[in-house]
Parts: sequence; structure tokens; C-alpha cells
Amino acid sequence: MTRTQAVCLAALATLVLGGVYFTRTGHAPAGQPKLVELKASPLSTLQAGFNRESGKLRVILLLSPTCPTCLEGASAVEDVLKRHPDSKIVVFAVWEPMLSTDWSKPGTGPLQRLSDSRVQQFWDADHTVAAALAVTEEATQLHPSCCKRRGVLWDLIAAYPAGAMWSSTVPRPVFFDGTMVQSAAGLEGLVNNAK
Amino acid sequence: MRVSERFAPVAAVMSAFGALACCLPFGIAGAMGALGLSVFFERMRPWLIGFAFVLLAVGVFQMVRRQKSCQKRSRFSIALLVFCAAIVLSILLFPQQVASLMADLDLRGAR
Repeated sequence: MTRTQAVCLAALATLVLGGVYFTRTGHAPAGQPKLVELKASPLSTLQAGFNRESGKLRVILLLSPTCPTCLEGASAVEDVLKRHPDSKIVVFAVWEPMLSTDWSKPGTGPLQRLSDSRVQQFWDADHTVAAALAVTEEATQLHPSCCKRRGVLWDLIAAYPAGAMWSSTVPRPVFFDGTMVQSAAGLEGLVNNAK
Repeated sequence: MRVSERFAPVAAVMSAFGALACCLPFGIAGAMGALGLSVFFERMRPWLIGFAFVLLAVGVFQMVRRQKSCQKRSRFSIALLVFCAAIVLSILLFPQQVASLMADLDLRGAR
């Protein structure tokens, strides 16, 4: 084996090992529960969590872990949370595979973009949450001017007032728009009032 | 100016590019192009990433096989191959890290 071949082989091995390291299941930030896989645990996990926090403003985010705009949106929502540390709010960040590069669960990097302790993060491989939101979208005639790819909702913020309950369908949101990076400013008014 | 006079400099440039293409594995340039396009043409992304991978393999094959007219492997070609391979593999193996980097660079619309 020549020196060049050895260097190329070592570089390739480093890349593969690095890939394995970086794409293992990410760690949720300190103060948050572990990333919940909705494939392993049914949608009712999220539904129960949503109803348990019925005294607070609740926000559902739909994001893709390899979409730069979604990641920017996650950071924008995190900034809103940081500016309102006393607001009674729970954010359910639902990561879903939307792009061809979304072949693994969100790693530590994407999860750390939403580091506030009021955030709970989920991996929804089957788009069950997006499908549940789409039913409400149809029923309530709320059609955001964005945020659908091949019929699946993504890069979206949906906010629900205190008292709203998720029974057979998701309740009507008070805010339903995207992209997240563009809609974070609209969310801020609601977060500010949720004290 | 005659037509032949106009044509001569253009032909010279084309032959220069032809010579370069002989020594420089075209697959590498193609791989970079396909990968770059994949950032902006979201619907075709899976195909373009696959195409980039195939072109990279062609580039490696060209490099290893060596063409008769290019007796020496240039260091530039090898460096370019390693650089392009690193970018293509990074996107395939670390898509979340690349997306994070793009988000931090504020490349809106790249989704």
C-alpha cells in the first residue's frame, strides 16, 4: 500500500467513524426529558403531555433536522423563549424526516438549538403529528401560506391557548404559521401574554 | 476580421480547456456541480446527491487509471479529489452538521 492510499484510507475511516459518532441518538439539553420516539411510543404520549399542561400556552413545532431554514427557525423560537423566561409555556418540538438527508434521528446539535427547559423534543418518523395537525387545518380552514411538502406539514408553528384540550382531534390553534424563522416574531406576542 | 481570425482565439481557449479536462478528472468537477445544485433544487436532491457520488467514483477511477496523455498525476488533481470527496462524504455522513453550518451562515432558501 502506497503512502497516498494509506492517507486516503485513514481519512475515509475517520469520516465513517465520525459519521457514526455524530449520528447516534442525540442528547436532549439539560433540564429536558429525553428525546421521545413517537414510533416506539404512540401519539398518545404527546397528546397526554399536551393535555397535562392545559393551564399553559402550548406550542407545537414541526421541523426537519437537516433543513437549514428549520434549524434557523428553532434558534429563533429559542431566542423568543429566552426573552420571556417567566412565561407559562410548553413547547413540543417534533422533528420529522422531510428531506432525503433526514435518514437519522436528530443528533445533539439540532436538539441543542432548543435548549430551554420548557421544551420537550420528539422524533416522529411516520409524520403522525403532522397528519393530526393537517386534519385540524382542513376542519378549521386554517391554511398557512407555506409549510407543506408532498402533503406533509413542516417548518411550522402551531400555538394553543391555555384550556384547549386535545381529544379526538387537535384543538383549533390561535396561531398557525410558518416558516418558523419568519413566524417567530408573531409567536412572541402570545408568549409575552402568557405570564 | 476574417472568420478564421475570430475563430482562432476561441479554438485556442477551447483546446486549453480540453487539455485541462484531459488531466483534470471531469468527474470531480461534475460531482461538485451536482452537489451544489442539490442545495437549491430541492425536488431533485436525492438524484443529484446520487449523481455526485457516481461522478466522484468516476473521478477516482480516472485518477487511478491515468490517461496516456497525462503521464503524471498532478498534486492539484489529487488535492482537488480529496477536497471534493471530503465535501460529498460530509454531506452524506453528517447532513445535520452541514445543515447547522448552513443555518449559522444564514443561507435562507436552502431547504
